[in-house]
Amino acid sequence: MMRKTFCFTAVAAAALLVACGKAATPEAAPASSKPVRLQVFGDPAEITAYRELIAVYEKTHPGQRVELLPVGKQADHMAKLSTAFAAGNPPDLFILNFRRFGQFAGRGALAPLAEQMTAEGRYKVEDFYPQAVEAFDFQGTHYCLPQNVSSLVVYYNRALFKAAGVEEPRDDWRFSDLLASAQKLRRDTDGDGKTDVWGVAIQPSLIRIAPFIWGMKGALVDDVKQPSLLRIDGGSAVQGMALVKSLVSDYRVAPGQAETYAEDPDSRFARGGVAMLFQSRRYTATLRDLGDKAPDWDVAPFPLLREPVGVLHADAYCMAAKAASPDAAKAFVAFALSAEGQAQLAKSGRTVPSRISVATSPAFLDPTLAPARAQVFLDAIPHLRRTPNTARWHEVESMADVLLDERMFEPPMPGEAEGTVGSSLVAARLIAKTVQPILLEDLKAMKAAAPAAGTPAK
Amino acid sequence: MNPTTHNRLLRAALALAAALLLLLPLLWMLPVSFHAPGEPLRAAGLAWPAAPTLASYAQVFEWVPMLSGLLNSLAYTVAGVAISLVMASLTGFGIARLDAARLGLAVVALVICASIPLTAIWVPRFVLFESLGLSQSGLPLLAPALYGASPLFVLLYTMAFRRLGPEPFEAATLEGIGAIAQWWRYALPQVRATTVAVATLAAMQFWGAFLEPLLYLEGEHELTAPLLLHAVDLLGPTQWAVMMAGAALLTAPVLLVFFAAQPLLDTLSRETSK
Repeated sequence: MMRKTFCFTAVAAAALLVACGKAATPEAAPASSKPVRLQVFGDPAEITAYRELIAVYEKTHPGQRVELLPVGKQADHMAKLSTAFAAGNPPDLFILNFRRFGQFAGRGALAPLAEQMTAEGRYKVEDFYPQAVEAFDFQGTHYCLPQNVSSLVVYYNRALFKAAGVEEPRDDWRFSDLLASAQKLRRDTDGDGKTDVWGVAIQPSLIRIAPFIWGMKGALVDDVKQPSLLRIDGGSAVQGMALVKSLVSDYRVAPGQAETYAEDPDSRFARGGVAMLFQSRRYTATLRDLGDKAPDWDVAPFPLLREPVGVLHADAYCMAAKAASPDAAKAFVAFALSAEGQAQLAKSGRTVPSRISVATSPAFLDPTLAPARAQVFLDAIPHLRRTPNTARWHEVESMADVLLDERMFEPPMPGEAEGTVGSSLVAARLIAKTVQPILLEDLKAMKAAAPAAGTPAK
Repeated sequence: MNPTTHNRLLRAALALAAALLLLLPLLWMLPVSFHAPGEPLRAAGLAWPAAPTLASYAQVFEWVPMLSGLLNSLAYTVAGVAISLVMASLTGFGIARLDAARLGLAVVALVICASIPLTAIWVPRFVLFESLGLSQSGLPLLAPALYGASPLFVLLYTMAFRRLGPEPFEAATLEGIGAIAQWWRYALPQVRATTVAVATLAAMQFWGAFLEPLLYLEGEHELTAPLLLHAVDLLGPTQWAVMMAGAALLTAPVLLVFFAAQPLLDTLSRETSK
């Protein structure tokens, strides 16, 4: 295998540079046989899972090689990817979240991988959860193949529930049940007048608040495929936002901004400082990594509001329109999304497999591993809704998150008369107004580029 | 106590207070790194752990190839600093010998170059190296060293060489000594303090570099230590001990070099205070 080494030799006396570029290992393949370059982001456990997936693939597919290009954080992944695309040398394959894939699909940078593999008989769309599949459609073209599907659930500390004599969440619990439990679970254990154990915690972001808006029958945008307007200032949407704010402002069962900055909710839950936490599947692996230091925990569904909803989280394998080895890349994706490949990746614990047969198998619902109620993730799937996947949606979320952080998680100031619903409305209007130019520009660009996106560059 | 002693003590106390303030992150990092992986931390995490362990350090090496990362960073830093010193001092020497009008223009050009944000040149530079077929190698990481790593370093050398005055070099020229020999034999030895300052700043730049290694390096065993630390950071706040162990591993070589260089720094301090 060709292996680039990054080694430098500093010459002693003058301390001048000697750098060495590429060195071939003994098992080097013919120069014409380029490895498939796969760029992924993730923590060490996820990277290890990808590495093992590739090892199995190369073992079972002699002559095929995949070079893993790991990047830690998603933001770094996007920076590296954008630069590589700008230079015209992107990796063959890469993982994208649907909330960020529009910026590549919109400029014709992606190959319609899903459509090509369907035509070649390598991909059967009915084998995968349709909610995840649909998220990677862009202007009628199906580009990327979903690797996982997840949603927002409630992690809860079973020991704290037991100690407080509170019944564990049922599968059909409602927001009022969550609130009642949170009020009973909130504790000042040392009598200093400060809360030591909070009832519930949630990160202040649009993706977390979205299911509350939908659950109250409100809308996030006017059109999820071609959004021109944020609709969070509508009556039902504001009520959904106010529910979240009320946890901090009215009932004081959730940590406010200062407490959240002082200690991250994930960390707080892990040490037993909060009884319930709204989080996605990713957090399961974090708790598993903690082993016996983790609390006794399980998961409950997103509480019912006016209608059952959930918010989609999904990543997919995407192929560059100018992939150097498209056939080899497709062969790898076919394996990665097979039952064997999906089961291999499910070992990381971080994702819910997108292939239905694997998600419903012991590979995911392993009864020996927490959470005991892993089925909760699957039961949520039929009700999942998604945020837009347009080119600049990630910018909308970034701006909204800053404003939500400022406006939604502060208790009202003394004498403040507007109340929770009023302040939520003010925040919603401010956010909607702030992001409006981005949405309009995005829509305009999308309409102008529509033909290009439909016929990606080869 | 006479006023002079009093003033000295006051200055020392202020310096110590400032140093302690700057040391706070380090004082937090080290105790936390000796907690067990996954051990919950609160504000009390500042305290020394009840059962100190190196398990978090072992975990760093288990989760990411940190050894190769540290070696790559070391090699990159040594090579980068060496080239930067040669190029910055040589360029600074040349500029310092210009006449006043040209010197002014050169300084203005350097200041303009120093004010260009990295984000403005990051993509064009990547495209350039891509067209040269070097974008997937470590060589572009050393490209900044070819222009002295930073216009600021060239400027520092220019000012240092300018202070030496033109006379010794005019005399050397009359004796038939070439410009390179003048730079190496006469000029550089007289600006050792500047060389140490530039080497320190360049080492910080190359050792802590993140964006360029992110863009140009790909395979796991090519990555530098800051990139790997970012991967560990992704584990989140429940793994503070591992994160801080990784940070300590990146900080330790810097501290070792700092302490090892103390005799040299003392000598330079005495020389410059004469």
